Amino acid sequence: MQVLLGKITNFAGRWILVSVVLSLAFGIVTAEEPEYPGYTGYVNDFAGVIPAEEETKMTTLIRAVEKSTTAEIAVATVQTIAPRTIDMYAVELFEHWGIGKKGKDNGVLIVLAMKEKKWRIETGYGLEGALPDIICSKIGNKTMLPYFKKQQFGKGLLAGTVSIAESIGREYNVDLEKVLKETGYQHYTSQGKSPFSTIFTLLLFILLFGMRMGLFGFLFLGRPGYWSGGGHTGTGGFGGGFGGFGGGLSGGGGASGGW
Amino acid sequence: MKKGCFIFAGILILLIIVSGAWFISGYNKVAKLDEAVKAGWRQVDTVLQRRYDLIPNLVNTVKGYATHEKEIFTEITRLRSQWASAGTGQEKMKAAGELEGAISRLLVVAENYPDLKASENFLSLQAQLEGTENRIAVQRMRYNETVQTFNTYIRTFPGNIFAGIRGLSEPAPYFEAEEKARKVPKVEF
Repeated sequence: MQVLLGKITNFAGRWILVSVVLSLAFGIVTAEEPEYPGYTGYVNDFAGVIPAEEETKMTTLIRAVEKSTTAEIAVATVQTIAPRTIDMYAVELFEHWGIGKKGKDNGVLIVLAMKEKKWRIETGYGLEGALPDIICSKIGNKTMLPYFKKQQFGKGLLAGTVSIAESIGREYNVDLEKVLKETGYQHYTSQGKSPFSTIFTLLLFILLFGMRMGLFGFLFLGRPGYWSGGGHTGTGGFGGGFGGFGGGLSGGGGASGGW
Repeated sequence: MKKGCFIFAGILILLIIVSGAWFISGYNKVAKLDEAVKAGWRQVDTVLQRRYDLIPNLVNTVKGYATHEKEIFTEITRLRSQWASAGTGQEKMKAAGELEGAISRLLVVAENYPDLKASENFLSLQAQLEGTENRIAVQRMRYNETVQTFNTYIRTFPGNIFAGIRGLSEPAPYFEAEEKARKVPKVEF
């Protein structure tokens, strides 16, 4: 009995030793460096090309869209995407951030690569109907590109965000006019007009709204970039809005181009 | 002595429970990874189907302008039906790669016909095709990631044991991209 007991405990001891060594080894193997930056809000101006004014406007608009439709719009500017292509960068950043609600995948990402002079609009699976590739291509090439060519990245992104918000509003049958009124956009019109005049009107009122914002802008705690240090634990300090993205996924839908 | 026996029995039972749990989790992990590969392949298949559905329209549009390029049309039609009749995943991958090459050759041919290039129909088709190719690239990448995880697991200890027990020791095939075929011309509006 004593001998048997000794043998077995010996065996058990070895097993424990082996499993400890193994789990240590696995623990080391799985440690990996993150390749993509964490998000700081809806608008992530890593390249520093968006003026504060436009950033605030975009954030306000995107928050209104999320509130009324649950769809999430993310904007990112980066210095470089090397060694990736813009298409791959966008899809991986999208997955990394998890833009859109989990299961619905209703997110959309606009990303600019400054050095490569490339833009991409990447749509989550759930927004491929609201924003078909051809529409994304038009928003990119007709709405945003003219601004990018003039180095007005903030204005271009804002115009793109407005067009995207419009398309999402139509898809979700949400009266964005009311939503936008609440947030200060007073004369929002979208029916029966060409996208250009609509965007023009919108921009005008965003501008007016922006001027009004200037009066009470100090109420907001600085730019969203300051408010949330990084990542997934944000808890709506910025007007009760941004609480992190929802875990959505994209599959390569959208459009890209360069300036 | 009696006390020692109890302690020993306790340790033994604990070991059985721990190793049992370890065994079940490994046993299930093989199945989960295998399912992930299958789900990844279904996604690839869906986007390949999307390209397949675009082809007749594309061929007809180009045919209307480029009447002398019979060869490429015949080839694409042949490869398309080859893709449709492919049985196994590996056959489909091969056919898809060849089809991708043929389509990009067709788009190069289209470059020589300014009227075609300017037609609204062709532009729209090209944009759709471009979007489809990008989706294929994404799903291919995700599929290959699941394959890598699965293959690594079943070829290393202790995954190889569980894979052997479940009869899932066969590595899943990677879906390699054909580099030369990846270039689809961009469209400007």
